[in-house]
Amino acid sequence: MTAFIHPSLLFAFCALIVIFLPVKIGRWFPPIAAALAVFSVFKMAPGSYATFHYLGMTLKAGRVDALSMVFANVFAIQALIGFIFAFHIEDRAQHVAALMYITGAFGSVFAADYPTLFIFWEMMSVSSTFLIWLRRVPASTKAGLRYFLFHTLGGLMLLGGLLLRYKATGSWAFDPVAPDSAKIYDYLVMLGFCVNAAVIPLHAWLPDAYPEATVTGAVFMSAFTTKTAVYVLLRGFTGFEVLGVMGTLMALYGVFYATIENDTRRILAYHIVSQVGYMVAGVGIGTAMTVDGACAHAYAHILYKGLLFMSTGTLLYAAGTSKLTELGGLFKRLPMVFFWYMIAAVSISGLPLFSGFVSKTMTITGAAEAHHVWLAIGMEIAAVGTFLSVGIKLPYFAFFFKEDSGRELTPIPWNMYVAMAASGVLCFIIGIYPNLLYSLLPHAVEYEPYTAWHVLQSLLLLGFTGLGFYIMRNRLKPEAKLNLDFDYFYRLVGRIVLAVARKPIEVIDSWWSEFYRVGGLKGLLKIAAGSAWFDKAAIDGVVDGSAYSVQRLGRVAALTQSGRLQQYLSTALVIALTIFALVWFL
Amino acid sequence: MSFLKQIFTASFLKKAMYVSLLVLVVLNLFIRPHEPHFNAERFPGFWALFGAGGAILLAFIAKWCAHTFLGKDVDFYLRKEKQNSASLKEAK
Amino acid sequence: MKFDDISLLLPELVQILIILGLFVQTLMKSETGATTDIGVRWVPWAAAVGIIVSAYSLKTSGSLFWDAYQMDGLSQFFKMAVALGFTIATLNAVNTPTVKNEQRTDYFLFFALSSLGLMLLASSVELITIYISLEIASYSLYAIIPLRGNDPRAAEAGIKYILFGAAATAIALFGLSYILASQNTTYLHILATKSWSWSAAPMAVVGLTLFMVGFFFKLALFPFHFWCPDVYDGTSNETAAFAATLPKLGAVVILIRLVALLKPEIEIVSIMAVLSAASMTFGNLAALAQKDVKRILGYSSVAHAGYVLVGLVAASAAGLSAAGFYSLIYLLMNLTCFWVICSLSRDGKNLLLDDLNGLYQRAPYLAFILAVGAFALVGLPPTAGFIGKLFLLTAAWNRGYNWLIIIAALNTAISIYYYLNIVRHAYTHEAEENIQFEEPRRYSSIWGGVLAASLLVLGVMPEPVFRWMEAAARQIIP
Repeated sequence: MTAFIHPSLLFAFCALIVIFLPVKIGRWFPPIAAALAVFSVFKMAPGSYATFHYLGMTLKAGRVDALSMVFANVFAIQALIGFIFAFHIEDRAQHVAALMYITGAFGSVFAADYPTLFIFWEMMSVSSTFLIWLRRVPASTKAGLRYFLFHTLGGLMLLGGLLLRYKATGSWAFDPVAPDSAKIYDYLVMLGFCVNAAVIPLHAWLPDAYPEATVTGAVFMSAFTTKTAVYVLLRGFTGFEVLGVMGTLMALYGVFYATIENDTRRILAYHIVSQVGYMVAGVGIGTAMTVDGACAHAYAHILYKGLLFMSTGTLLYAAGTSKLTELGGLFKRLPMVFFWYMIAAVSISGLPLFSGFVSKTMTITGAAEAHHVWLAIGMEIAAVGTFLSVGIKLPYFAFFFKEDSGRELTPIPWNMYVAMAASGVLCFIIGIYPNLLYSLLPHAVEYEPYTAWHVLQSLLLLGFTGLGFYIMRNRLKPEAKLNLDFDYFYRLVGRIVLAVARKPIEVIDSWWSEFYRVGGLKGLLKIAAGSAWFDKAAIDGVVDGSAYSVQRLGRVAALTQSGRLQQYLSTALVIALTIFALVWFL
Repeated sequence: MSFLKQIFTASFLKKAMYVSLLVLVVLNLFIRPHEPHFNAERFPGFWALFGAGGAILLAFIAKWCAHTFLGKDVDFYLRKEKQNSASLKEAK
Repeated sequence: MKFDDISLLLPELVQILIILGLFVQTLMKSETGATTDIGVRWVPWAAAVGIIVSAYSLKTSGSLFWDAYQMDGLSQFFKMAVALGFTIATLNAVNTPTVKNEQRTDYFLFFALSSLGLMLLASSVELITIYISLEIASYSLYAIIPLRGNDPRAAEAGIKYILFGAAATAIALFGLSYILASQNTTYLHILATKSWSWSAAPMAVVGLTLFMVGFFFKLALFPFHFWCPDVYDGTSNETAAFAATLPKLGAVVILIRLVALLKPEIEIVSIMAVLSAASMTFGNLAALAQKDVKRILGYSSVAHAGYVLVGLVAASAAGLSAAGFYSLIYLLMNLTCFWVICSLSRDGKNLLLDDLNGLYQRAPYLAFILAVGAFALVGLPPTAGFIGKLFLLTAAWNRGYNWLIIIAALNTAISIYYYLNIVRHAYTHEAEENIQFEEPRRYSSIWGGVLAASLLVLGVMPEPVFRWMEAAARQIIP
């Protein structure tokens, strides 16, 4: 069966159902829709489907090939896991927002031309803003607004780029851009993509907004926004050198901030910047192995980052806080959360037997083999930082370090454990049987992860990073501080624009008021008196008079409706015959 | 259960960690990359130094930045917002 | 008649099945005598099935009964419009307060019969068939106009409608006889080949004009409109909803077919232009003085009949398609307004303008729906009424009747007053403190919202529907 069911349709339809049903019944439908999407993704065959017409354009929404299938595959699986995780939520709006968000993500992955992409891109932008706002605390409202403004900016850059591109080339098609012949509009589109991919310096929305999202919303957002951006970069911009450099910078920047942050989810958010940096670097380098590495890394990352957000989200749900300075000593009371967290942590660090090992090392090796040695070294440093911050620092200070503060823990619903277990098991399975993942990748894979050297190198790196942590553990204590990031500049720009707009207008305004008071007022009053007289006497007379006469005419006309049938019949016949006669004989 | 706790004391774990790290370095003498991506990779113990050194350097530099110019009070932006709206009210 | 021919008749068959079902249901009740009331709730859903079947049959073409009954784009479009109107009108009337429970099934039976007559009318292409279909549609309606509790005004309205209608159809039959005498045929496609100018065939021209009188009556065109405000006023709200909208569709489809025989410069078209101008002006002027909402809608029907005729006067494919499109829009606009009226009037009494005071507080959704309907009737963008009027006026421009277009524009200006008056009462007038208002019908906002949404959607995206109507019109005027 090669029928193509666009997964977006499944999720959008499910959203319609969930809107109208009571939430206790409605919440069963998203996991079902996600399961159907998994089924549809596995049944998909490459080809071009879903052509439709809109506003005079012929748009294709169903480009299925190896690249889109690998992303659709992991999106569907993560959607299922995410909806199982969110099963206990009794807020209908959150389910609907998540469903529309995933609709947008699938639509973007399968879009074959820019207008389709833009529609789904903006759908994702709006829905994910709601995933932040629906936490319904003041900090989230503010963070969501900043998030939305920034993403709208990215969307506008994308729109500007695609419109200029249409004007210049006459085509809407979304195809790879050759790096040597990239024009202004291509760079505009790339900038729009880079906003969603959290490339520095356009990344500050991510650590600003993700920690303020709902517990379940952050799980969805960690997977879809950034990976859709990686997908579109892979589709359009492989081989752009600048992306290689920026990617490595992102990788380092992210772990740098992760080491000094206090909020668990902010640490993970900076980590997304770091890991996506690997993928962006893979896109930039552009060889078959790095592209494969980027895809594999995206796949594995969605799973283990989702699991990381799920476990820290569970901590937030149970303990009511996500700050490391307030957590501590929770190992005895939440052992399973710790266990699944560590599975994800070792996956992200690249420990052999887990999914990170088979994906991250492919990207690094690909970089090195393409003779970008400094990029490879940068990525290795980032790997050190990853294990340091996410693999050791976060769990140590969250689950150990202090005596249990005795704080009250909200009981954790069963579906959260099921979702975490499913994710963890998948991370492990991919780790021990990498061909499951490699068979989905767009190019043939020549990389062999489980060689003695690769395993040893990873163990050396990670083991001695642990030693480093042990030595520096006092210095690495979390502190309840806010770390400045590029959002300082975003807000600065906003304030400057506001001040610039205010000041000249203020000056003009006060000058004008003075002039008006002294000079204009008297003359104005005189003119006003004159026009008032003219208006009342002359114009109102005419207008009101004509209105009243029309109304009187209307009353006269209504008088013909006397209520007597014989009069009706005779009047009708007389008038009709008169008209007929006049016309016929004249 | 308690006899496991007697074995897995803190000092035992510490000793176990050092021993396993040493084993890894020794293994590195025998297992080497067959196509080193750069010169330094050939030396045994390179990655060990890289890992530990990297972690220490990262912790040092990151925390130094945090303590000097990056780390601010938690309500840093809130205070700025209050200042802004106050100055707006004055101007009116 | 071969078996395949059945597939040509699908919309009518659904309607006949509904009639049969209702008929059996009336018999069942009288046999048992007990009050086992199956109820009429199933009728709107069955009618909705009719819409789907009509949509499915939009492309059928063929002819039956020795070419007296033809299926083409025009007929199928109007059958779907009739099915749509029937569904909405029956949904509106399911809980009508002025019809006794025992009579409700019969009431719906006559609705269904009238709709069947209208569907037959859409496909009739031979004068006598047209006449018979017209009578089926009219007589069914005559039977239920008086059905309004024990209100004598409804009986009065019934008498007026019947007698006026009888006179009008008698004139039409007289005209038919003239046509038959002078042109020697009653088939429209043969009549299309004959000449219709006054100098060549004066008796035929007189005959055709008199024949059209029957349909001008149905359309409530001046000077055959006198029944309209009294009947809407007197009959129950739900019956008025049906009678105000669906028969007009039947009249328009036949007028479209008849106008296709004619060329614009000839006398019959001049007569239509004069009547159109008079109708618009008279309808709008008389509506200004009204206080009863249904009477306002009655006079507005007179005015809208004038507008529709503007499209017919153009006598081109564009004009005919605009007239057909506008009649569909008119159906939706009027049903929206009547929906709100029926939702608010729980005991079935007539609503005065003052009864709408403070509606935005009592029932904000219904107030909004009423506002959308009123704005559509005025012809303000982005409602469908604006698009309909735009198509009508642009089709008729430069066809020799520019004065008519100007009068139409002036009339739109006059009509703004009384439509916006409705909205004014609903939104700006406060309800009296001590008056108890009843709750509107439950769930009325939902379907009303669907109606209002359809007006807005058709106002923004009229293309698919209009293109279909245009293709249908081109089949009869190339």
